[in-house]
Amino acid sequence: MSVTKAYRARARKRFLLGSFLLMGIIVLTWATLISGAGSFVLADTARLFTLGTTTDSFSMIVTSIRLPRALAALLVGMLLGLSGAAMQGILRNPLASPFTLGISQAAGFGATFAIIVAHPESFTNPLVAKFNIVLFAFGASMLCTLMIVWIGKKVGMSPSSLILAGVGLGSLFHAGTMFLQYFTTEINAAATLFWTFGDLSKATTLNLWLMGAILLPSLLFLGMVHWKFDALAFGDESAFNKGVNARTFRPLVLLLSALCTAIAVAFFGIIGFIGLIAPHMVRLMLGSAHGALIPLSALCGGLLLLGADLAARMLLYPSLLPVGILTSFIGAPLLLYLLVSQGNIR
Amino acid sequence: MNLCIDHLNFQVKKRHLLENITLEAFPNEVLGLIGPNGAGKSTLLKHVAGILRSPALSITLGALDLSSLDAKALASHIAYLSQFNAPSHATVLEVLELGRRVYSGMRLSKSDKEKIETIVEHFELAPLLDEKIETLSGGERQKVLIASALLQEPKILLLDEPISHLDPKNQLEMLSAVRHVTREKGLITLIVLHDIQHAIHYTDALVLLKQGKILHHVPTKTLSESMIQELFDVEASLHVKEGHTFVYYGHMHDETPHKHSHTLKTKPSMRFSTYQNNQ
Repeated sequence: MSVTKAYRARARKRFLLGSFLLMGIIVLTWATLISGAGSFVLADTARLFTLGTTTDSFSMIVTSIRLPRALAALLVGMLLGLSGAAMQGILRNPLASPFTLGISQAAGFGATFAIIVAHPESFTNPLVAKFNIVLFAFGASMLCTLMIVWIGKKVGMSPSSLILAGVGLGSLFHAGTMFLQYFTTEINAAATLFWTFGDLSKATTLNLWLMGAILLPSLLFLGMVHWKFDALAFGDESAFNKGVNARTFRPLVLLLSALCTAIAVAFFGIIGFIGLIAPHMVRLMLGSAHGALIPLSALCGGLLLLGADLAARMLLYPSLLPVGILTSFIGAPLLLYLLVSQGNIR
Repeated sequence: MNLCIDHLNFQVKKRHLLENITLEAFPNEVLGLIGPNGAGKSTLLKHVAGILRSPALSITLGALDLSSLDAKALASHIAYLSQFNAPSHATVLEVLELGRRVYSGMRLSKSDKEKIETIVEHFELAPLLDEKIETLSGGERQKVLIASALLQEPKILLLDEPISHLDPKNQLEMLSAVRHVTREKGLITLIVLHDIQHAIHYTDALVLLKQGKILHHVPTKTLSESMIQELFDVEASLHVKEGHTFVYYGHMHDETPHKHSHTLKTKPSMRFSTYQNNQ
């Protein structure tokens, strides 16, 4: 195979998967917009094109509930998929995810602390009072990441030391959460538990804009430095000789991917497995080159969460299953299936 | 432009791994680093590559102070093949592309792709382009890694035991290719070798390292039996017969006979007798 042919074949495969994921996102977004009361109303498709020009109840429901929910699923899924691909890349570990590094557990602790200890009335600033849970969850996630980076700097920034630091801190934050839950009222404990389920009904214009504002530059930056992940796959020393200093690149990417996770988790709770499984699915289809892996993992994450949210709303109607429960239900067997069918998860 | 290392000292926890290393290497020259395990050969290469840094380090290429450059700037001057690489699932094409990323970053230019095309033809890698590097044989893998290193268009090529996992045929091909590109591109090549016979035939000069110190820095042609004995603490003799050079190793040198009543004795062995003598 000549170099030109190899480039063409690779571009074709990437284009096909990218198109498939985009089509899937469009179809699932459409399905989300026309689904309600446990069924799809195909006739509503035509009414989607008149949104904004009418003020009927359908228009209201779509613009204020279904569309924000669909966008939230897309953005959260993209953030988690992107974050997972970046973490797995810099840590050279197929199991790396916001869970492995304790970032999700830290967010859970932050939210629990806000629900049980830092009540809204404790703050004079109305914004802090309003978003206390989000702020504490986000703050705890970033604190956890900074601690991982700090510990990593002390021991040479090796992937294994970062993962071990993350596992240790995750355990610590989880213990802190259980400690607070043990000494609080049943109502508060239930509230903290419910927060961890992960729920996309909390979508608002503000959190959608904020997530978009973090997703876009992160995706652009990580897409631009995709080759540095490929260089790091050969080890830090080899990467250095390809122009990549792991000691500065690794903490930078770790902080950025933690930011992507933290913003999603802080607003919507813990949504498991998307960050872990989206990069694996893309890798199995296209290989490990991060030029495609990074953007397509984001798209795959968005597609998975859109699908999971749709299923969560339809499966047990009229009960609405929190999407975090469903992603874990589907994600775990899916990961095991990939492991067994491919013989090797990379 | 010559590569100059000036009084390099490196210690870890008060243990001197490199002590007062001063040497100069020249373009078109393959400089072999030989010595027993733990002599500091790889550590020395890592300092030249910029992976390890020591205080007051001075490594220069002509007027350019290499010790002050960052990873990206270094990668355009130095290509380094590590002794160990983490297993990667990258394809051959992706590994080759990495050689040009230091210049072009995320998007390779047309000229980058032409350079990749040229090296693919030169190293006959076309059938392997879509293969994952982990699935290749040891010889093929080393060939791809060398090709990727050469795509960096370095002035200095650092090879840390590049033939240690190869069969004899691939060892000869690899060393021959290294000598060829060194001459063709005017490179300064530093290569760590364990096999004296290889060192004799494929290097122009030798640095004999022992316990972090340079014992000798000599033109390869002047390597003597006593130097080998001093380096490895084994009796050795060099023989030239019908245009072939043989290295014979004898019994272990016992430096403190009073402490060791039993000296290990081995029969002389003849190793790799098919080389053409170039002396």
